[in-house]
Amino acid sequence: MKKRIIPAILLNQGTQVSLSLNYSPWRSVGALVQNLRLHVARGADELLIINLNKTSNTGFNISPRILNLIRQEVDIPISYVGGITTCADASYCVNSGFDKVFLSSAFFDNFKSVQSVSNVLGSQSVGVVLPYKRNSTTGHAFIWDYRIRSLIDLALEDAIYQAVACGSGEILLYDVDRDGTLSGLDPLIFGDLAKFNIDIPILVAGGAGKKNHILDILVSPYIQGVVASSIFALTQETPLTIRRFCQENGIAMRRVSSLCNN
Amino acid sequence: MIRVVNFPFCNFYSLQRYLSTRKYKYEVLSNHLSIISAEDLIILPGVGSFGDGMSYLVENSLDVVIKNHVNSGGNVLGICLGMQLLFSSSEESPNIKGLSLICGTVNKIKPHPSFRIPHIGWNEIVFSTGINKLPPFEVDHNGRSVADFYFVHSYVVSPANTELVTAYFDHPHGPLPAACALGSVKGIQFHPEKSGTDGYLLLDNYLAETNCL
Repeated sequence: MKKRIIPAILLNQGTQVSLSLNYSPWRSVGALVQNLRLHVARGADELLIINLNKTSNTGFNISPRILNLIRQEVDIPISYVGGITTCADASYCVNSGFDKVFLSSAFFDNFKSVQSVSNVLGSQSVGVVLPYKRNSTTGHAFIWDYRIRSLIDLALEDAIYQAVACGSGEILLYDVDRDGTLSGLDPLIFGDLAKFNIDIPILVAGGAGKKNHILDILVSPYIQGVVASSIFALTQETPLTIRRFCQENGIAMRRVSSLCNN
Repeated sequence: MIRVVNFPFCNFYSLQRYLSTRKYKYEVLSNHLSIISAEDLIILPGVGSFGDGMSYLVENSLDVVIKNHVNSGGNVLGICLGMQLLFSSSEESPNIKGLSLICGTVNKIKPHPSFRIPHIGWNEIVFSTGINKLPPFEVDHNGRSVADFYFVHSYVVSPANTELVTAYFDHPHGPLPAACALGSVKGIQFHPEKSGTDGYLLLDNYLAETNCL
């Protein structure tokens, strides 16, 4: 299996795209179409749409216009996270052109919400995003809930265990403190993952700023991909340059045979 | 004409984008037998369970349409779940009969510490019958034709006649079928419509072999 480079597109105020800093919209980087085209042309393996506007208490709502833009522009896999609470929300996303949906807040409220979506769509089409913060003294990681912008009484290890047990097909571990800092991905995540015999794909996000940061994480047999955004907007790196670098250093990455040369 | 089965849960929009980009005419497959020509290509996309997929086909009498089309020599292409539906049965939905256009079963991929299930992401497929010189395939240092495509699945086909396998992907317990063909019936487990430029090239090559355009 090839490891994945997954640009995240954080939707903010309609079709405007923002970079995120500590899991919050920070700086605008253009419109959705522009970002979709750029990432596809630069050889992204997959895209993740993060709709932060809809993860408050306003419920799930993504406009038909946005769905139409995504369908027109993307010929690679694309996933969605933001405000999904029910099977109907998740089914709507998949039927509208997304390949996978991720649950986050709904999972914290009720672990079984993932189970019910997985039962309908299949585990391959549903994942869980786990935003977390790590205690700088103890190193222990706890889940951080975007809605209340605070830690909740749920250890990252327990959340991972519950996500697997409830039929999640994939888990995205999102380091909130490192998000947008370009300072490197969480090196302690290896230790958390080594405690489990996890047999589903694990993705990590938060802190990727250099090619080496991504290589250092992808060497882990537990981690299948890196989700990132700032590195693609604030540095010269593209999914293609990172893929080549990782490949040169012995990581199995996707071949891109033809037109992606950016 | 290309006729696409529009399952309730499916990758229809992804396929639609490919067809629109290439300016190929297509219609959603209906159960009006009279309008289907033997030169048409029926595409079964699909995401979801084997049981749900077959229920949709049977409830809309599309199973009969597809079987009649194959009996007339017509081309059928199944993608992902659409490929699995071409087979006789699936471990995913016991007691549900498949289209049985290819003799064999669909089984859960065997778990292994180095092979995560669901099988999600890009993986290498190897062309099993000689060298395919058409892009996107390239020849590796072992002389095999290889290319990378996007997979999302937990089950895999097991044809009774293993010679029907035209491409495979590696699994620690041995290679597994990534594509099968029996006459005018073809199936691919990965998603060419989601595999970027290389996937589009593969579909171009396949459609060029048929007379549906």
